Amino acid sequence: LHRLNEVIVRGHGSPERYATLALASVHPLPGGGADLTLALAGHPHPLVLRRDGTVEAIGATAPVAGWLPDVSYTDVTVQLGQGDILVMFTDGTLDVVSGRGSMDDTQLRALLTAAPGRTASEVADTLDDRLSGSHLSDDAAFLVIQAT
Amino acid sequence: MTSARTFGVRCRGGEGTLHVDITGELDLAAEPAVVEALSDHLTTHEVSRVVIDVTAVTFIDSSGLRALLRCRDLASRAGAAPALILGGNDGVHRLLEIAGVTNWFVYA
Repeated sequence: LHRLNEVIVRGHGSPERYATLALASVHPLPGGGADLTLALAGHPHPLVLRRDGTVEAIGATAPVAGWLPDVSYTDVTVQLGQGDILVMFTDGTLDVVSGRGSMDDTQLRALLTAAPGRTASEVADTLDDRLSGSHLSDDAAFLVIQAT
Repeated sequence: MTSARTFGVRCRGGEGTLHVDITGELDLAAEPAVVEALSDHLTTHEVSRVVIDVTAVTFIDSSGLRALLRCRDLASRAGAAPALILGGNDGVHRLLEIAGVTNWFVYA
C-alpha cells in the first residue's frame, strides 16, 4: 500500500485525487481456516462474522491513498476459523444499510448477526436484498469470503 | 427521486483570519463551490489563517472530504494556517476517522 500510495501521488499531475482501499491477502491453513492479513487506506473496516455469530471489525485505520506522500500503512493479521466469514464493503454500502452519510457500521453488524444463513452466498444474498430494495446515492460494492 | 439541495458556503472576515462557514450537504455538487469561494478570497486578501467551520454540515461524502482536503492545501499554499471547526459534528468526524485523516487537520 505504501508503494501504491507513492505511485498515485507521483503519478498524476493534479494532486487532488485520492482512493480508499482495503487490501487483503489470505493464506489457507493446513488444518482448515486461514490467516488473513489486511491493510486499510481510508476505507471502512471490513467485518468478520464468526461462526458463533459474533461480528468484529478488523484492520488498522490509515490515511486515504494518493493525497500525501510518506504515509505509513499497518498490516493486521487475524485468523479465520473454519466457517468464519469476511465481509469487505464500500462506503456506498454503509450509506444504504446505515443511512446516508452516517458512516456507522452498527446496522450492518446487526444485519449480519441476524443473517439467516451462515454460508458466504447466504450472507451475500442478505446484503444484496438490502441493497437492491433501496435507493443508491453512491456506488455500493461488497465482497464476502468464507474460510473452509 | 429528487430532493431539495441544501448547501451553502460563506466567507467571513477580510484580512487576517478568514472564516469559511459551510452548511448543508457537502458532496460532489458542493465541492467546486467551496474550493472556488476560498480560492477567490485568497487571491484578493492577505490571509494568515483559514478557519473552516463544518458545524452545520448535514451530510458529507468522499467528495466533501476532498473539498476539505483541497481547502486545507489551498490555505497552506497561500501561507495561511488552516484550521477546522467540527462543532460536535459526528458525521464529519466519523468520515475523517475512517478516512484516516483526523490528524491532517488542526482544530479550532
